[in-house]
Amino acid sequence: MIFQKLTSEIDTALNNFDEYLEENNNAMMYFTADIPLEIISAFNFIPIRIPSEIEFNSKNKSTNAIFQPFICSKSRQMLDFLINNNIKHAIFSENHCDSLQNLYDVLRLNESIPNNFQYFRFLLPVNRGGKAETKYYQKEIKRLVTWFEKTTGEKLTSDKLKSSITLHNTKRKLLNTISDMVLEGKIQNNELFKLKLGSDMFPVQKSIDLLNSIIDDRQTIKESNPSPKVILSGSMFDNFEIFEKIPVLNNAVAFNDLTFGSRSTTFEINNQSDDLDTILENISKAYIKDRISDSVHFYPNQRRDYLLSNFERTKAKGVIFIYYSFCDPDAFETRNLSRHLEKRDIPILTLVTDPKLTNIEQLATRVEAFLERIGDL
Amino acid sequence: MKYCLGVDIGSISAKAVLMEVDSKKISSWTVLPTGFDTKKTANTLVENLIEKTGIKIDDIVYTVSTGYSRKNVEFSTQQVTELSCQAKGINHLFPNARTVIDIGGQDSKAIRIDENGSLLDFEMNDKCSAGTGRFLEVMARSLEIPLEMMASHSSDDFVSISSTCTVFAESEVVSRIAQGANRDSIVGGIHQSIATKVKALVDRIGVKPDVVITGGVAKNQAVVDALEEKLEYKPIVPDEPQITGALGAAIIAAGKIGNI
Amino acid sequence: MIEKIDRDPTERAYNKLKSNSYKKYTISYYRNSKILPKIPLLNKKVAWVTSGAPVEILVAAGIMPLYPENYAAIVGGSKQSVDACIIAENDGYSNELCSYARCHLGTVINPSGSLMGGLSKPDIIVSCNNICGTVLKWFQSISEYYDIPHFHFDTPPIVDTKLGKTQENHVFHYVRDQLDDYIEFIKTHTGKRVTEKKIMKVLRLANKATLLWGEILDSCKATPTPLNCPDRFITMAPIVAQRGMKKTITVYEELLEEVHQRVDSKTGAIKNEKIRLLWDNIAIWFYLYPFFNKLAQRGVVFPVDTYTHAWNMTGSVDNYEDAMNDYAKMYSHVYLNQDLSYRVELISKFIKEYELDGFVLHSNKACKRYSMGMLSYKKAITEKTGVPGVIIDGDMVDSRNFSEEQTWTRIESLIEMIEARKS
Repeated sequence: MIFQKLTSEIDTALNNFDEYLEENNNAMMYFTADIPLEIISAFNFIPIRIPSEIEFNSKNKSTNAIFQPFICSKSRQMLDFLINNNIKHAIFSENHCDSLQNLYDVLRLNESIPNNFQYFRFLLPVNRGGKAETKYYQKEIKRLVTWFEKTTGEKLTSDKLKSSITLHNTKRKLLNTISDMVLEGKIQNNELFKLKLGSDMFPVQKSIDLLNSIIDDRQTIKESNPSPKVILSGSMFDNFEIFEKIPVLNNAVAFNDLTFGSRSTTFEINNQSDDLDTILENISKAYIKDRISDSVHFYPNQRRDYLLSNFERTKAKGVIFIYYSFCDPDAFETRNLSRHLEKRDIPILTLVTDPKLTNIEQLATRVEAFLERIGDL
Repeated sequence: MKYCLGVDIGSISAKAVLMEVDSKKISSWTVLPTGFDTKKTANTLVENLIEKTGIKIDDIVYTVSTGYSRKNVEFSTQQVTELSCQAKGINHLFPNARTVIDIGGQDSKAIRIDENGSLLDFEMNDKCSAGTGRFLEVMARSLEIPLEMMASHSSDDFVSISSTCTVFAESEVVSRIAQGANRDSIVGGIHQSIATKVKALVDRIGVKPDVVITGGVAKNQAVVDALEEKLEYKPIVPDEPQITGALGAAIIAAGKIGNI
Repeated sequence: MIEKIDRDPTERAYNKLKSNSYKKYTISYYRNSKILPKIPLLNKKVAWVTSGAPVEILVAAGIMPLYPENYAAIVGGSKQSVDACIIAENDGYSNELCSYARCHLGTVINPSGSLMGGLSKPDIIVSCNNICGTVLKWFQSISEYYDIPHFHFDTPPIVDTKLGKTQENHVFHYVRDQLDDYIEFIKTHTGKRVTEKKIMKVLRLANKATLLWGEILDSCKATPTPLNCPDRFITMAPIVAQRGMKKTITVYEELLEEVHQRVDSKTGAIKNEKIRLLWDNIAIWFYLYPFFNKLAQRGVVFPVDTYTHAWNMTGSVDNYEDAMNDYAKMYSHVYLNQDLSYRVELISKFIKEYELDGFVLHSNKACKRYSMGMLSYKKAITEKTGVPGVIIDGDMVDSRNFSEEQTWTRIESLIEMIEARKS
């Protein structure tokens, strides 16, 4: 019951996203998982990731008038969203990938930027895990703080930031708990990802309340699940309707290794300090050293180790990679990771789709065949 | 009397227009399937015209060839791209035209022209979204509808076909069939998807009235209607939308004769 | 009386360059790269580097740099690239990926079946994302395939140039600090030490060669222009791949002399120059000569391109600290690491300075960083300069993504537009 109510609330927001944005004047759109949400919330903005499930009418010109067909399908979807919705605030991720690098310029050259649009171009480091990039990221989030202070006229205090961090830490922990419940058969992947979707667009306190109520509700339910267990791995892939549309996949995924899935929740930020600079440093360490990186980043072996350790922990039987068409980093990462899996004789399936899942029939057939292959038919 | 000739060898059909030089009036025109041997097709086009009009081959003083196989027209005096030819041909028929949309078998084009029929700017489809006319043909065959009947089967209650790549779009249609969608809704979806792609192409140069649609696909009223809705302008369709390129070639040829 | 558009195709419409030391140099460099690392006594180490990576420090350390991009272009020019790409695709690399990467990885997987038996196996690899993000993933693939150390030099882009913004101070320091890490990395993994003195020597040589290259490019403003696109595309190899080496200077001294002679005697790169265009993006290597020579027959020449201009960057060489600071700035300010406004500005500036009639943008399926936003900046350039442009679809080395007929229809339409304007 609780879940149905939540689902309908999320779906309503997704299907009438312009209204949702209208109601939430303080929505801050962002693109990638390495933007420090804690700072956004500390300034009383709601961090909202642009999801692929979103429905809206393309009133203006289509992205095909702007992009060649070989440009990444996710950046197409994001551009489509940006030119067809009245966005007031956004943080652009620069130095992320070759498509996002010039996305803002493309918007500007097409005169598709709304009036009074407030934006920040976050110059992310590609290198991850080392001292230089942690120090650099800290300076870049300081620049972000300055921008927020100028935009809002409010000063950031260590108290505000600390309570924001506490909330986000709690939210991440709860999502991890639910992720473990998937493995225990207490909750389904489609439900987990519906919750993740909601928690990527609702205010953080509201997300926490919802997640808590679901955990309480589901403690007793136990479903046995006979299908072979696999890990779903990818980076930018974020259309979680795939679990609704391919029921066998929903049953088979034991653990997800996705940017907007487990990789955005398996880290914690230390807020045991009252010194603002120390807290900012802790945020930097968490995002640059602790958060499991994405395919665009340079952190040798981190992704491989994370995938393999979860493969062993969940006793999975295979790995399904998924990425959006024309995403070079993900296509490369898939090949690089699969090389390590091949050495260990782990069965692999690679799926390529686009944010609207237009080839869903074909994906379903491939998933079914793969599960037949690795299971006892 | 002196005549000039415009020959347009496209990927699916070959067209020729014979024009009387002094009056600049069309004497005759003809359309043939392009076939494999384009050189032979070009010769057959001329033979047909001579047969129809009774003129002598020596009366044709200047020939401009255009279209994909323009280089294979051995008897042509000059070769000009189909973009410049469409510009001239449409300007001749509709002097107020500023945007020409040409949807052929292989390529779609959006062309900006001025009041003199000069080519100002253009965009063509990318390689992976090529083959609009062919796509319609193949789809008509899989849905077991004669090509010329596709428009009458088009339902407004369409299912969406969103792939931009023609090959993906074909497999998307196959998915729709597998899902048991209504045939007329699929036809509607196909027409919508073509119109969406063409609209994106036109947006690259910007739409300016009057808008004229040419090429074989312009004969499909459902595509034209869908485009009208998207462009927010009523497009003009010439009586013979297939031959405007050849007409433009003939006009360019006539202009050359004046300079000789 | 009646002018035929197509001339006799056997007639050569261009003037062949007499300078050829660039060619000899490139050939001998590749030959040495196959031999020297195999002589134990020399202890010659090999590094594979991306075209935008800071190579001078490697040269100063006595390490032999090899460029997979340059090699892939040569494989492409030899029309062996599709076969190499297919090998990589069969190994599991998506056919949507950069074709330099696919082509090169194909030769890594199957060196014996490749041109020159593939590149000599590296001891270290160095990538830099100032030219694209793809090189990082490509080199990571190589590093994991061979299990060899990989240094990635991270250069956040220069954005908001329209608003007069320059590189943020902390971005500069981030880039600058990595140069020290880089020197440390080289020492750790090759045992080669670099001194400040050696680095300065190499930087001075690199600067000198770049100044010559810059002068060569600048001389192309003359009418008729002394060099066409293929001339520059072919002679650019040493300024990319042999920066900081003495021989590179002699190569460009020779070329500059010939360029000066051509300008003085009004000898053009092509025999009958009528239309001057700009080229944007990487060359279509497998179709380089057919493309430009066919256009030369119509009197079309390309006095300038954004590709070869990308290596026209110099910095201070007075003292070590200033030099290294400039060096960090130089490598983060390359053409492809700046925003699209910069591109519009630069191309518009070229159109004016080189007195061009139009521009050709190569929408390169294999290079997303170079091609992203092209439809938008094409429009902006025409609005700014009043000069028409055209986009052609292609690919630097994968000929399967190229349609000759469609390309010619587009190019000829542009020429018809320009000719109509001129008459």
